[in-house]
Amino acid sequence: MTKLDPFCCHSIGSNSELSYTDEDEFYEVIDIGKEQEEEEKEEEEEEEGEDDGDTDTEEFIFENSDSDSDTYSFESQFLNIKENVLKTSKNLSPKSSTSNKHSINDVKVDYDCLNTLQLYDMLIESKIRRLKPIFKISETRLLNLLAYFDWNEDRLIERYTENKEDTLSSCGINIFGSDNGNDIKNVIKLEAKKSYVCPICCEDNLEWVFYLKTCKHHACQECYQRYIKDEINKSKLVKCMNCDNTLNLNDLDLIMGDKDDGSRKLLEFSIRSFITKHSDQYKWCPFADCDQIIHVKDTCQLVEFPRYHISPYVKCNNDHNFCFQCGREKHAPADCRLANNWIKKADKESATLNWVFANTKECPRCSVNIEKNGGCNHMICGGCKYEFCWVCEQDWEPHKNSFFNCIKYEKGKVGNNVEDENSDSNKTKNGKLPKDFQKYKHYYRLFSEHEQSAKLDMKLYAQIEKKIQSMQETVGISWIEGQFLQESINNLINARTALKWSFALSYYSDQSHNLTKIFEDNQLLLASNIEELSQLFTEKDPRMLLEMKLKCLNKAQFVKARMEALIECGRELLSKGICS
Amino acid sequence: MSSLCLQRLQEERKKWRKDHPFGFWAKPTKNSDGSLNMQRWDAGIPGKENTIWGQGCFPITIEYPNDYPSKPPKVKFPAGFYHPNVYPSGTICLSILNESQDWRPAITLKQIVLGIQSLLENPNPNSPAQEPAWRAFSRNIKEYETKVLEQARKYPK
Repeated sequence: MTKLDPFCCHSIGSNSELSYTDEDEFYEVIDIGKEQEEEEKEEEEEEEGEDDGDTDTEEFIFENSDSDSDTYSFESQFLNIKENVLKTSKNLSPKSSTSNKHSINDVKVDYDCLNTLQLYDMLIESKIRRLKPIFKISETRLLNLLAYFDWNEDRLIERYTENKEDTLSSCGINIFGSDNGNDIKNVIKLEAKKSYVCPICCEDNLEWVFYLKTCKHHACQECYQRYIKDEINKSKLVKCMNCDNTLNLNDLDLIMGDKDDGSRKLLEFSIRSFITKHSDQYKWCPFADCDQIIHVKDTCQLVEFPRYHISPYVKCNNDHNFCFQCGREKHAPADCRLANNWIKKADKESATLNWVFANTKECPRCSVNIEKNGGCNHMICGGCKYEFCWVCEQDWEPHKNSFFNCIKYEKGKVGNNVEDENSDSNKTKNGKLPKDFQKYKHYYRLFSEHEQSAKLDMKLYAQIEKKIQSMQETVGISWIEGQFLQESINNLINARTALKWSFALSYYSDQSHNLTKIFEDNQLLLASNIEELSQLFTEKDPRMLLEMKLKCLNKAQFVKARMEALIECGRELLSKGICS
Repeated sequence: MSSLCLQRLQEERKKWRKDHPFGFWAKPTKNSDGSLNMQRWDAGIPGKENTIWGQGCFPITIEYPNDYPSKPPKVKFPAGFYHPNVYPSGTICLSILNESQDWRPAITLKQIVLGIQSLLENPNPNSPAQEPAWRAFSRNIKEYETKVLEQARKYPK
């Protein structure tokens, strides 16, 4: 190979070893970190023999994709690649495990997903069993204590051994009425006498009175219920309405007449504060209306992730993917630090840009407002039938063959464009915006474009079950046969997210570096394939959809492979310090 | 106004008229149309005899929120009142008047006013609410006493 083919480095990328085929050529051009990489290089050279086979295939593909996408018969080559991947990874796998002591594949996070009920069953079981012999008080009192100390048993035991009486009385537990480990009811429910007047609401003619045995205070049922409902949402303990005597969980249930309003609710409150205090190990799923909790069993595992510039992605029982480290959606290929920088920058600079890009665009010819309601970038104006590209708002004609080269940041061309637009939206003092801002604006636009498209994809996702159903009805296929749509759209959504975040990475990357160019070419290829895939989903006729099944599956698989390659390439950018 | 709040306040008024500590006074304010506003009271706290506060009777306003007695009333001296635990706005910093501290629905008006009276002569230097009085109280007790006596003359019994 004489010329530096942009794609040969990372076109398959399902296994990190595969991607180093042409490392030798890179070392001549790129001259950083050479010494450190020497060792790796030696390992790679051993594997080179096996890699040769698939290098040819890759070359072949890219010649094709460059020439004409219409006649490009994708399926056969795809199967070829797949075979090669399987072959090579089979050959490589035993080797890689011996040669790399800490392979990136070893960096994993063990977690389980719980809801609040499961979590406190877990906590209560383990803690009560351990603590009961030490304290010699009833379980419900122990729960009071634990809740008061936010389930931090070390602190509780420490305080308790320091000063037993003080600890108990600070939680309003009366030690003189010690229960010796038996559950004694503190509150008694009495029928009210005719002459009884509740000291809180001053009503007479009441039905029920609650009387606290230890402090002899009392109030009517209505007052107590109202009081507890109020108190339960803000404090760890519910005290007597008159003094510091604490009501235990049985008392709450007796007064409220229901566990869900009483003890369960109070415990849930203290579980919530438990989670916020142990946020290194427990996290709420950040998605709206999702009450799942992710519990990472060993926090030491998390330390490894930043070293490899990857993030601990977890999935809750409701199928929400997020990053355990920063609590955001999946942001590969960017790592947490970069994602954080990008979001902060976006918050700071683009509150206005958000509005500029988010919703509609004007048709470049007739200026009618157009809302994009499908995934593809090929726009045809409803009014004047002008065909243009949604990204660059220019004529579609040049995009036809070399799909989407407008995603590339071309300084001269885009720079001029951006400046024109800025004159009416975002003027600075001297009328010109700093270069960095133009660059940022370009990448931010791409980022938000794909964010918008991802939302539309999610809409598609919601309809997919219906589509499958209509296929079952009209074409008469089984449900399981229709699942290819589901699978493909999952790939589409994942790839779209990765592509979106790759623009954040691009912004922070050194533009002059070769690897950045490779990264951007990878981006380009993924972007064009994503658009093609999402175009397939716009088909409404179920018969046509079924005909496209193979095409759809192949495309989806290819998109997935490209996405993995892009993520791997991004990781390399980060670990080589090209992206800062 | 919720009926619970009103009921309780009417009972508080009844109890107060039947029996209240010597020297104190408290009554609901009047609306512009002459009717009683039960949620807003005016009251007077006499300083304890034989203390620097003894010469005065200090006016307070008591505002009962709609969710009284779940929530404590807001009690204020006139703005700029000179006392280490009174905010410049006049709001009193007292644990039994704090919802997240020692407020209990069973606390009555009598307990509140007696609590404030004892706060007058026993300030809590650990939770200062204004600078001038707190500084004088902890550094220059002479200056503090002069200022307090001066204030007591402003609000005679």
